Amino acid sequence: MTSHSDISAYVTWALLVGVTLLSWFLGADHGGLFHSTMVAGAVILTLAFVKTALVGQYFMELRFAPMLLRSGFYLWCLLTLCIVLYLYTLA
Amino acid sequence: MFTAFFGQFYYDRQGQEALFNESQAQLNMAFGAINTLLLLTASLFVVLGVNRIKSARANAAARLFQMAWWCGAGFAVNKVFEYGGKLSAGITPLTNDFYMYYYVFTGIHVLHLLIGMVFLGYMRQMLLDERTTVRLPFIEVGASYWHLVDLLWVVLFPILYIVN
Repeated sequence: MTSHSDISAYVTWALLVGVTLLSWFLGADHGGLFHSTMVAGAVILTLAFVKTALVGQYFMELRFAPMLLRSGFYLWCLLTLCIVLYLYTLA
Repeated sequence: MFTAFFGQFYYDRQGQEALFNESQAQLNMAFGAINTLLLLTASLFVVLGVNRIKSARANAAARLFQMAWWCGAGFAVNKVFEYGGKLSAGITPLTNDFYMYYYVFTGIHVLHLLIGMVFLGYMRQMLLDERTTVRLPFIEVGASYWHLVDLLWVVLFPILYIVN
């Protein structure tokens, strides 16, 4: 029997694979979709941190963790994304 | 620490974007994408394995951890081919700043992957050896460590292979 936890793992995996393929496509597209490589790059970086949040939430089971730990993790994701985006777009 | 790593990469990229972009174009994006799929699939197996332990199905969990181990091995083999191709083309960490980051980041990552594979192998043995008491907290720590390896690659892949 497939448990609820199994189903959430399968769905998370499918989402992560989908986002990976989307990022790959956007990278190979060289910014064509957004008419700007920088915008495409920023979208891809944001998607990467959405993926880290999904890995943390569903694979590392942070959704069952104390609020402080969960908030710390999401704060790290957000802070790192902001720093990376800031330095990337400065170029 | 990882925030500093990623930030430092983009900080050093400033002023040498063309060099970073040209160097990145020499990487094979397919290697990185396949490795991402392998790690994500390994993480799925690990989650399913932990779920099997919670429902007292140790043998099924051991099989899933073994499948995750094989995904990790696939990643490592892929990396050997990738490094081999680069080194045989004369591309080393000293080639330029981009490749210094490439080798250091991916090298640190693959080292952690190998440690994760040792964890997975031990977790499997623990489940198969009837004399050993299965310690769920240990398994959960090993699983979380594996997911951390996955999580880092999820960021390294776009930074090194895709975003230009």
